[in-house]
Amino acid sequence: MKEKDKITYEQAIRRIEEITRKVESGELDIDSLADNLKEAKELINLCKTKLTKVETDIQKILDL
Amino acid sequence: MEQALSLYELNNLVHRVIELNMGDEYWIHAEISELRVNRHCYLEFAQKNADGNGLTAKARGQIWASSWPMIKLFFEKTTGQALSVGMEVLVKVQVTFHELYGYSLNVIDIDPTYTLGDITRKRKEIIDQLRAEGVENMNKELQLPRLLQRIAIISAAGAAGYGDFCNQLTNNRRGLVFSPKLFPATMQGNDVERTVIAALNKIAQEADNWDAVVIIRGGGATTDLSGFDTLALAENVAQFPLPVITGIGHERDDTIIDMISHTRVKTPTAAAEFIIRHQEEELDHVEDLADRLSKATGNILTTEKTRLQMAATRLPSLYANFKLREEARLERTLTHISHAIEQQIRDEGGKTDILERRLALYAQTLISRNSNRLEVLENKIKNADPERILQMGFTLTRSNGKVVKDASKLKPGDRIDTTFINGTLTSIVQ
Repeated sequence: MKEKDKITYEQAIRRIEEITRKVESGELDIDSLADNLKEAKELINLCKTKLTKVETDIQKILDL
Repeated sequence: MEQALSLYELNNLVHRVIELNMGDEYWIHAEISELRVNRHCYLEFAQKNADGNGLTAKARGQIWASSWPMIKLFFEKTTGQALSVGMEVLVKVQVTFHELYGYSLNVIDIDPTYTLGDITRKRKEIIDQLRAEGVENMNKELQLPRLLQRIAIISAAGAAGYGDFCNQLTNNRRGLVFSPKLFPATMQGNDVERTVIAALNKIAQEADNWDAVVIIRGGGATTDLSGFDTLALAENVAQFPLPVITGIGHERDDTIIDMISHTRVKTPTAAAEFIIRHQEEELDHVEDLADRLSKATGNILTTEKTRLQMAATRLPSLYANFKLREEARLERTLTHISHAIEQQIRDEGGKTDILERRLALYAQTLISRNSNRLEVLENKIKNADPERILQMGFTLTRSNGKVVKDASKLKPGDRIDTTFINGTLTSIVQ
């Protein structure tokens, strides 16, 4: 999960888009579906958090 | 010698001549070469040479305090700029001459659209210059980051516009988070160019910390915005590494930096709304993706379940078909094999007949060949029969039972048996 913490918003949203496309086009087999959905859910939460919650690094800049 | 006039008398004469002959009002166009406001507005008008160097005409002028506020308001409202040095103006004047202060033009009206044309021309020159430098669209071509949160604001500290902007951002409908920070600058008058460029430089030094720059100006209805129409500021904004959003706020026309900034809105509130909407769209996009994922997954699961059910339903009949088919196949194979065996037997039977005939022939040959040989042997045997030899008169001599073939081997006194055809005689060797 360390890697996930460093992923940028742009990277995250692109990955979600890619997974959505794969799921919609039926490209994913049922075995890898669960893993991909889990990843997408984590990334969606990450994106929502970035849009709606103050992140510590932003707060630091403001406190300067 | 005629009576000499006093200076006043002469000036008074000029005064009267002018008043008498030039009582009309005149529209003139000229450049403002000096300007000073001290209750009244004192000006100097100039006309340059055709080549732009040196002057061909010059005159002092003034707008009296009684009409100055009205003229100022009218001019600024229309042009978005304050009367200033270097500006081409079209003014209605009365020619006056004062015995003490001399010749001057009393401005009673102004046509701001003339200056507007001049401003437009100057702006066009700046835009042409930016185009020639290849930077005209540079800021527009930057892509707004999807995450538009860290906003560097260039505005006047404490200005109403800045407050409106921050309030709007903070109290957005969907709990979006923004991190605005003010980089103060003067937003009107002569210091605009210098202070805004200084603020931009400060932001550029920490460009990684910001997603976009917002230049906003709020408050007073009419202000001098000419500071936003300079080449140096335009070059800075055009080539700024972050997207610049402008909300300078002028109802009539855009300033140069409005034209070359990434996004241009009318007011600080509109700038905040633009940023909020951008983030709302992003949030919508994320939520839409989540929705689509959930729907698509539901569809996949439904399809898979249906597949499974269909398989379960069809399995028995499929198996029955399979069984029938396999049985038929087995039957066919068996028939095939038995036919093949029969055929083989027939083929093999033919072969045996041939062999049998060949064997008989061979046996016959063998028998006849051997019976010939037998006859020869029989003859040979017949010829070698001792009885036949004895009959011919030969005898057979034996000593001690052994056939004597060599007479020298016998000594006198030895007993020998001589066999004839019809009997044996014993005799003693002498």
